[in-house]
Amino acid sequence: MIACSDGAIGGAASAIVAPMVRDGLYDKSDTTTTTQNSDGSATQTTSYENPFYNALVTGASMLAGGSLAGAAGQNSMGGLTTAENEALNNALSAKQKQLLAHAFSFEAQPAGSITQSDAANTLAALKLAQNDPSLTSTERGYFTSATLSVYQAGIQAGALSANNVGALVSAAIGSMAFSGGGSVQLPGGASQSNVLPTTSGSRTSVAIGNATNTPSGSYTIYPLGSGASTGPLPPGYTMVTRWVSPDEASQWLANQGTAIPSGIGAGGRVYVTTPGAPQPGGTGPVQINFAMPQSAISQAGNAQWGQIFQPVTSTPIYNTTIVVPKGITIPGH
Amino acid sequence: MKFINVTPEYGLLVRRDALAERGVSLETLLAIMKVAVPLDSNDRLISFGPSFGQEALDELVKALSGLGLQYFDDFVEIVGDYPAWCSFKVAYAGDKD
Repeated sequence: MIACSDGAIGGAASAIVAPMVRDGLYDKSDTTTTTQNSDGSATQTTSYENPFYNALVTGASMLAGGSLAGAAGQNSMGGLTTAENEALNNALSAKQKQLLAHAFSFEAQPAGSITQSDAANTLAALKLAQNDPSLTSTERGYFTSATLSVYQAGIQAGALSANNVGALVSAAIGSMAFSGGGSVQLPGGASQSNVLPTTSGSRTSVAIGNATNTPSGSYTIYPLGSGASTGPLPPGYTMVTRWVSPDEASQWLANQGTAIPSGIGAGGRVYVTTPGAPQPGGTGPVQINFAMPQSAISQAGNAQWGQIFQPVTSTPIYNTTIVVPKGITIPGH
Repeated sequence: MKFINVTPEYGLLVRRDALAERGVSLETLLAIMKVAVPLDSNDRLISFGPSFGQEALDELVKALSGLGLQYFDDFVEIVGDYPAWCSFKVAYAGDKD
């Protein structure tokens, strides 16, 4: 029998994980310089200078070691739990606390409920939040802890990997970015409340807790995160709208808006409208917008209505958003 | 007999006299149906539709019942799968002329 101390287990795991995570995050974006030596040989030096990635590398190494140590009977999450308590009881703004609370909630989520998009969007929001120059080093540490928490939960759930997290976070940030700078009034007159300070003169809107306010007396839920609610559609797809009850909206949330839930639509017919069409009589107050293959939609009722014949649960849908009038609650959300 | 147009695509037919009998205004009925005008009407009948599928029709039936209108006596749905080249009209049975 071979005995090995917890420290040895953790150290070995860290040594293996750190280069993997580092290389995955940088994905060839590191800086490589070649220096010519006096004896004619050359020394190649690779610099890893992205502080966010470096924090992830360090944290991932610690967590990898901690995970194995935890399997040997230690509490690998003890440090993060302390950080959570401190972070959620300090003087950060409500929005920052909300973001941290959402990030730390990943730990408690069942692995199957963690989505790649939500994890990537949350990591992106955390990364941007850390750019706030008014943060103290301790407060910045809270965001680092939250980042590690999301990262570890995402890895364990299979939603993230060391090879894809860097690209996913970058894409999420890109999807959040606006040109210009400063906070502006939205068309409906409501202020854009979910603006976090950023650097580089750009303004960035961040979805906090998977929901943002909209200016029309309603709020929008992004089942897969705001980053997955926009973007180019596959060929042949078109946006449609379905008006539903809060109970049906709950079913769409349960499958994270990735497909039309089974059993939706009386008689196996799912009625939809073109985006912006008037709300039909007899429909519920919650508006679900999503992209569906045009070929799956048959004409119904009038030129602005269509019907989709179930089952279509194997047909992926995209850019799903759920618009809920204020005062209405979606069960389970 | 005076016929009005109806639709079998989750249509609804309302007996006009029932509105007065139950104290329901036409404005209230139109608001429930979320339309500015019915599909068709005469001095005996009012028709609505198409509705937004069976679920919407079920909700409309509930809403009309909630106004005090009696299902079958005062209003009834018209539902059927027919090709677009079929059109349907309905007359009030009490009209003999």
